[in-house]
Amino acid sequence: MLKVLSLLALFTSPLALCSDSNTSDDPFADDPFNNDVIKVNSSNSHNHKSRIELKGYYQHNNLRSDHPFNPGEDLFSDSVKLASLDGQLESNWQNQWKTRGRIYLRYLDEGKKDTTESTLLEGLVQWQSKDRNLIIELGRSKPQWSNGYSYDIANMLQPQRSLPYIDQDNPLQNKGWDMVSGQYFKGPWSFSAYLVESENSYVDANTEAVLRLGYQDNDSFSLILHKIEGQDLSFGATYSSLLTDSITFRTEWTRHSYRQMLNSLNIKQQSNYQRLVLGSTFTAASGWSLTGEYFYNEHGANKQEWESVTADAAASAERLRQSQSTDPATDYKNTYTGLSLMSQGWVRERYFSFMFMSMESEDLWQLRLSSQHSLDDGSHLHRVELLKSFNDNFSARLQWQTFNGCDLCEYGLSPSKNDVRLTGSWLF
Amino acid sequence: MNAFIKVSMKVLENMLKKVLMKTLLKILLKILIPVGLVSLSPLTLALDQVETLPLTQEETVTNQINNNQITKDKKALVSDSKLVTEPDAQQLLEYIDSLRGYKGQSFTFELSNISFKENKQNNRNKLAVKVMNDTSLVEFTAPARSKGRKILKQAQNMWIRFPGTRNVLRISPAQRLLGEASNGDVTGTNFSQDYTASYEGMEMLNDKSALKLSLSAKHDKTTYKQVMFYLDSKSHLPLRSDFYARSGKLAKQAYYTKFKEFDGDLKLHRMKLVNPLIAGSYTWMMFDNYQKQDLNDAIFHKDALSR
Repeated sequence: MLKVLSLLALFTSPLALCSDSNTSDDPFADDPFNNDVIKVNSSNSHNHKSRIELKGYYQHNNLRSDHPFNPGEDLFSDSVKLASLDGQLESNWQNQWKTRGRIYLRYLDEGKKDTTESTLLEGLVQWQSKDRNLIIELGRSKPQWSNGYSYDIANMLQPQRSLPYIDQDNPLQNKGWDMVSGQYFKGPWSFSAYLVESENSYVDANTEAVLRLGYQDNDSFSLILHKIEGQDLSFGATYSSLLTDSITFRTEWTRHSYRQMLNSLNIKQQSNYQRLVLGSTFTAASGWSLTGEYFYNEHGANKQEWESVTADAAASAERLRQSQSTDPATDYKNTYTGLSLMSQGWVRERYFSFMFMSMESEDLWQLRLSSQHSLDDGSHLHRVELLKSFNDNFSARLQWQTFNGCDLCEYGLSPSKNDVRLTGSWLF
Repeated sequence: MNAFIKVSMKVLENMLKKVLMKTLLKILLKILIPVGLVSLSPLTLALDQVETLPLTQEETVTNQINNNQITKDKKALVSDSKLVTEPDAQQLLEYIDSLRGYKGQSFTFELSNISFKENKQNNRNKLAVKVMNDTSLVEFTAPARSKGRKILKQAQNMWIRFPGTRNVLRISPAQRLLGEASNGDVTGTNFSQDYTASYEGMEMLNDKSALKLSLSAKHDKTTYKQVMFYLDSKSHLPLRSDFYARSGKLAKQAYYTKFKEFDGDLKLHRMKLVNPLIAGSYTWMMFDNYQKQDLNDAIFHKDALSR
């Protein structure tokens, strides 16, 4: 009888399935994304995904005009303007083929000169086996194997850096290399191989090859073998783990048979050069996070090398400035070396960085504070970023950064004492 | 001696009274009240109709179909005579899980989120989700500012890849990416795997009789130590759940407002997540287009995120 009654009750209550706990209006009635077609299942068909970003920024530099070998306003301007278009198109064909292209166009006005350039950042064809376990790629790509934030040392195909730090508004730092690669997945394991046309700026070589073994679980790790033409084998390893619900840990290590540094820094001679990064991120219950990283870098200049090079550069620059050079070729070379150090990252041995990131607020504001310290000479870079998304497409970022340290210290070499940049970005 | 015997008899009498009262109370709560409520179901139905929003034709049809589905499920549950007096809590938990997944079968779905602050609509996003066992891959498909972001979750481990870079970063479950919605809210939590359920009796919830289930975490890897589920006493569909953090604080409340059939399988369609600490702060979630799919585990590898 009870069963009958309960079933009867169920049959006679068509609304029982639709309770109205705390409901008022239907928030999905005017869903603005209704017209966005999602292709979750794309088997036996083709689909395309595009990402186009229009970006512009204005940067004001507070230049160091009295630096020992800094040409100051001779080369650098107190304002920089950029307008760029970053377009990416990814297409899937017949469930097994994929093409991906990314083109970057930019107009850069650096005050003393302006340039317009276009670059193919990525362009490749990919084939996947039906079971997705095997992937073959041919074309330009930039694989990244690092878990790090500030110090991505495990990207053993040399990371392209045009500044001593990552510039978020410079996609040229994501330009890939021409290569053929393959990847095979088996359970938690992945095996990959890369044959790359070398663009290494430290070693004169035509090709590089990488073999990588990856494992994914609570403790994830990877082992990397890197061979560059004419050099002994180099090695790398990464490890990352989730320590608690709110703390992640990662470490990376590399050992190169050659030195990734300017030739003029040649006092330190070793059979191999190692790097090590230890890092951790803590995320609070309220959403903000704090990341700290320690970086040890044997490629970097030790105290003796650093003092020798910077002193020579400063003295040569001064002689040239006073038109008192007796050996202009050497003085220009030394000055150039000094200038080159300005545009290199990781030129010393020990670093520490931290980054604070607030959670994106409901109003789409976000604050980021980051700092990089060269522990060898006490110089540092501090950066404050305020981000705001105004709508689904338009975002802006106000960035202020300051370089502190003595004139001949790593971050003290920066052409600017500080700079402020306002960036606007429209994503289609 | 007599005094001792008298005191002992008094204590014994009190104990017997307590046991008797408890037994009577149990009978009242677990048998008489449910029977009474079931008998009064037309009245409950009338109340439902008054309180519930008017349904569209499509939704009414969907719900009628759902009734049949639920009836089948309910038959299975009710066939155990024990359930009439005390529901099988673990079986109910598996039923709750079935509303978000396919028991071992990989599947895909789409999800729309709308977050509110001070009761005003704030942000929206849309996700495409692929799920296989305890592994899931979430891709943001809208709005444009988030499009292309991918999050891979394997049990408690998570990795993220931002568009425009091939770098894949490990993140922690504490990192909130979707307003009030946690990663588990998006991809579905396997409650029966992570929690032990016990039946806590009947309660009235917004004038509806509801079965109350208490879920206790089996291990310390779950985000919440305890979850209280309130199920419709007739359909056994969840009405509300309260999530308690390890500190014992009420961290979140979920209101299950609509269910829909996808290829014959009943699934959760709409849910509202409320932050009990901030008035007017909540997130609406709409799950749609559930599809069973044979997905290969290779796509759930972090190294595949950048391919």
